[in-house]
Amino acid sequence: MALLKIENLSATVGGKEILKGIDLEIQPGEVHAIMGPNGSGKSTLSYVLAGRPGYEVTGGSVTYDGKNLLDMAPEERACEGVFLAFQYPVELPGVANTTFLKHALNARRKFLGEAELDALEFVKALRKKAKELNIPDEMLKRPVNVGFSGGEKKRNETLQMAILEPRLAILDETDSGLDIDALKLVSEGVNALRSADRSFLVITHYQRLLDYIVPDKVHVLSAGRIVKTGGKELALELEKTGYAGYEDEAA
Amino acid sequence: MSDNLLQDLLRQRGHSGRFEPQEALPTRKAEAWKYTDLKRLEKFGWSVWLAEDSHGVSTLPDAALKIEGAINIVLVNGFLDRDLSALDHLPLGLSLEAGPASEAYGDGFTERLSDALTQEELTLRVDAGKTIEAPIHIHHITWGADADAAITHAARVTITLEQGAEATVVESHVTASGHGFSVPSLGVSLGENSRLGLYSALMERAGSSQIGLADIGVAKGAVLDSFILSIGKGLARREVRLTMAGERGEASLSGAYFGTGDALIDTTTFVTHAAENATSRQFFRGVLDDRSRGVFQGKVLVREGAQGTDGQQQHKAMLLSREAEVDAKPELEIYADDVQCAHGATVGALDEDQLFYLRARGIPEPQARALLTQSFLIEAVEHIARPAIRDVFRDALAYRLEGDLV
Ligand SMILES: Nc1ncnc2c1ncn2[C@@H]1O[C@H](COP(=O)(O)OP(=O)(O)OP(=O)(O)O)[C@@H](O)[C@H]1O
Ligand SMILES: [Mg+2]
Repeated sequence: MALLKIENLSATVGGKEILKGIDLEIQPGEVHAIMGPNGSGKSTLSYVLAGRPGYEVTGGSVTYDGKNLLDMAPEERACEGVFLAFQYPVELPGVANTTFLKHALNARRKFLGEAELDALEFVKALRKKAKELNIPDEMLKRPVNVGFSGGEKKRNETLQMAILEPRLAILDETDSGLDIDALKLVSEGVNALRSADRSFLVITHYQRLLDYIVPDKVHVLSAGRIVKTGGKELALELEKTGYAGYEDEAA
Repeated sequence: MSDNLLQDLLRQRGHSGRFEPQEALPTRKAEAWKYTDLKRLEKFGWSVWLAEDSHGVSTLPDAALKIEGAINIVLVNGFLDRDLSALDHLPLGLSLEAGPASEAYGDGFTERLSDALTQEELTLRVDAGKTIEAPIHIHHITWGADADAAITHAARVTITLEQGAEATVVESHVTASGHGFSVPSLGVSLGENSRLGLYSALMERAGSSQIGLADIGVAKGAVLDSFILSIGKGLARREVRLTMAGERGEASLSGAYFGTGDALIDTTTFVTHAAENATSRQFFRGVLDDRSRGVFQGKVLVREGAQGTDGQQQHKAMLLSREAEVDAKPELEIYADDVQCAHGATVGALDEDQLFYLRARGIPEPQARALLTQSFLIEAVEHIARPAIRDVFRDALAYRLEGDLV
């Protein structure tokens, strides 16, 4: 059974139709990449999957792990294992990174009927994973994303993913703004999580990321539709040709 | 009983102070009371508590704010209770006395009301060069014989720090039973190079009203760190007059408030810079839910000759409901030329992007809202310089956000 099955999904934002009939199926353990021009609807798709208010589904369905994903509140989706690494991570002044992660993890554990995490154990696990991503302890104490550089914010998203261990991780341009070393660290973080029952939907503009996180499939999203699907070589091809040919196809 | 509440109170007190025979409570036509309507006081028949009345408080009520290691001084309905207060083993350099009231400074309505109603004054003094390590906690407790009791009281506390002295004072206001209309006043004098932490917690029950006054003078080189946590469920107005009277004085005057139900929380500050190179920092945050109202009137006056003044003021409020309201009136009046002054006032709602971000990490909506509200207010609480007090205030706020008073 597919972990995620999107059928003929269309959605509007601010009254404007952005997604115009998307079909996509991701099996457990698979990594799918989505590429596509600016404004084609990649982030919109990620927000619709995460349940962002204001993104109205006007048709189609999304089945996640056999359940209707669109029926669930955002927090429910997260607790069921859907994780979105934001293209633009949000700043939370006054909320310490550690506190935030503890709340998030405990919310999930509560949802799953597990006991709250021991505070000491949590901090130990957090420090270890932070270190792997080259995130200093000092950053864990700071308010979430406040004053973080672009790259630091993306690493922080990756840290959250590593801690929350989702079943479906949607990475919206997590590679944008990362330096070469950070790109490797983040990719290693993702690869460390890859397993037979965990899937990834990786949105990117750069073929380079896909050298590190090798996808099973690559889709081209253009003007709200998936206009082409191929293997990892499609990314290389796009690198050379750009999206010129696809825009016509979608129109 | 007369139809003039003020005159009725004065008659009960047997002293009309500086009020005219027909004078009534100020209405919203008065500039200083434009946003704070005292009409709600008329809902109750207030009894002025007199020296000869006796109360039934035998221990600190559950509602009291607890501070570890503090010297507890307890005032019930405006009078010092010697049995409940730790007066026996005061640290060396600290003296505490109760006696007849002096007059408040100024001729505003609040000063005159305080003068007319105050019967006893508590005088606290720290000797020159002495540091009092333990926080001094002054508990203001309203006690009524039954749930319907409506008690009016007015306590005056004066705090004097002599040259180079250092102390931490917390003054908290809670309701043990019934409800109160209180007019507490504080007269604070920081001597040269002294350091005072002065922290107020206003946590009275619904139906209570408080019109409080604090008059603070900061002498040369003295440092004031102060905070007002206003989380009661009734009307709470706090007027603060802060005078930077000596050069290089430093004052932090901050606060956080949270209103629910039909609470009205009014913070009215007036900071006067009368000396060179003094610094004042005001940082206020408020959150208003339900039909509650917030008022922030903040004025900074820089007198002629107060060169090198650094006076900053910031007030930010967040409205959680359509019916909640806030009125902010920041004012700057500057008569010196070499000054750095800035003020800012903003009103917003809960940030939807932040809310979604938290929910997208699995945190349920109500909890996400509470977390954002709390963090917004905690940014103000972080201004408290004394860590032990900061922790107590942070906890009291968190508890209140969950719906209760301590
Ligand atoms: N609130 C809104 N009202 C109207 N249009 C919107 C709104 N939000 C987004 N859009 C539009 O939706 C389209 C798709 O945006 P989206 O963010 O999904 O693109 P994207 O593929 O992620 O682009 P990028 O590669 O730049 O990140 C854009 O044209 C954008 O302007
Ligand atoms: Mg995008």
